[in-house]
Amino acid sequence: MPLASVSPHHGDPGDPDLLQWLQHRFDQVVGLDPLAIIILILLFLIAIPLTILAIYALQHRRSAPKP
Amino acid sequence: MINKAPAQAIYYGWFIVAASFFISLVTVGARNGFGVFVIPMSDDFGWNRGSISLAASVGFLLNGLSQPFVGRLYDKVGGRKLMLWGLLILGLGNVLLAFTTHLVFLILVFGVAMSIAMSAGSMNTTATILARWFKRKRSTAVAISAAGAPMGGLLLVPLTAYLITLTDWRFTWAVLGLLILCLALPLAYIFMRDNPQEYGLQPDGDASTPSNGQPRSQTTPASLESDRWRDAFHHPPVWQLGGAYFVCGFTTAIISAHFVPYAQERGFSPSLAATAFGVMSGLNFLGVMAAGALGDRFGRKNLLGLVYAMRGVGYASLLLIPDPWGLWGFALIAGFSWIATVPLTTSLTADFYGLRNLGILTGLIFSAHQIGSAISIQMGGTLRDITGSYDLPFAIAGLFLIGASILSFSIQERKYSSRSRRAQPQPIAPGV
Repeated sequence: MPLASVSPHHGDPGDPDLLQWLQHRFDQVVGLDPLAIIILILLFLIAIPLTILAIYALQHRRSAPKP
Repeated sequence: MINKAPAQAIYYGWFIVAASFFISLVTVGARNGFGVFVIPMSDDFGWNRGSISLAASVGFLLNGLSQPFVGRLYDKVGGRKLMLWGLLILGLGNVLLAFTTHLVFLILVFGVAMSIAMSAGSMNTTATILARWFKRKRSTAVAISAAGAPMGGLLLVPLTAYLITLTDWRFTWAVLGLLILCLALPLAYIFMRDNPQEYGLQPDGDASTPSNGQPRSQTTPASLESDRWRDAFHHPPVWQLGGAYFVCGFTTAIISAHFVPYAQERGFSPSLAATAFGVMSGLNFLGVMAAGALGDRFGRKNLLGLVYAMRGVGYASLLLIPDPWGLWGFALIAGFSWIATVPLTTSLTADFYGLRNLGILTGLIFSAHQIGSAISIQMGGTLRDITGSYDLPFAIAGLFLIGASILSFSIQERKYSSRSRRAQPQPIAPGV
């Protein structure tokens, strides 16, 4: 077994076969169009930093000193 | 009684936690997705699996081996600089991979440059930064940050797979790179700060002078803190934590690397195996969050011992309970423990050894984790070939977990931890 298929425990690459199995299972469970899934995930990813920035900006406006 | 800092509703450290969560999510998720590229890239270039796996193997080893050096660099230049450079190289590396034309290029970019950069932007670096910003809530803060990793796997691996399906692998590498460069890097630039004291803040957002009138951060130094990082090895905790973390790497890598052949050996359908693995991955998130919160409330070493014991029960379930219930038992029990070791190990290291050499010490302990991982993957395959089944390697993993649990329980947390030591009156220097 090559070291390539190492655990995703600490940011190591996942096993390609296992990832294929997971993708098929994900398809079965979610059943959405791939494009819709991509858009949803990207929107979610973009929303996280924007939310952090928005909360910080709101707080900053209420006179919090920036460290 | 500790007064809250009046100027800020949310302590600035929590913004660093949030940024760390997102950075872990994007960087770990993008790296997990490498497996998805294996088949399309192999098809395009006519590489066999072994050849392309070489890039991941080199990357895995370099990532583990570089951690102490990166940790030492952290102690010298600070986490903010290290993280910014790490993210920049990771992002550019992903974009560069879109232009791959040769295996050597893939090995150099992914296996070498990005793997060392990954050490700089890793959970270890964020955890080490957070250890400065939090003391009472240290393990909660590190846990939230670490929870980005399983979340990244759950989001970015499907994103990678579907992007490859709809476009091609070159475009997908570029998208992953842009996510790091356009989202994670700016967030790190805006929020990552090394030290709360430089900005007039105290760990946990406490007021700088508690009711006893002494600066809180200076009243309870870590008992094993020293100018020289090598001194840490004169005391048992670093061996206990490192030894247990070796077992952590051993017992997580063996199952992840051999999960597919194990499932095939036992006759599980890909659908069942994938569902069990997916459930286990989802539980990582809950497990690490629970471990973080409980670690701040109760003793951390007992919780760490319990986490290893739980994982051992998971292995026992896999070996002793008939299929498929054994698999489900493993997924449910071990899933909670998978990443729960991260906040507890990092927090205990900081509690015992302080912040001065925390970078290199966490790096060294993490190296033990990666060495355990590498040994278990090879050992699992070899013993499977000799015995014809995974029973023996998984039994060894279970036995190792008993050892890791005992090692963790035997740590003298009360004796060494800065959390359990009472504040000592500081001598006042003349003229101060």
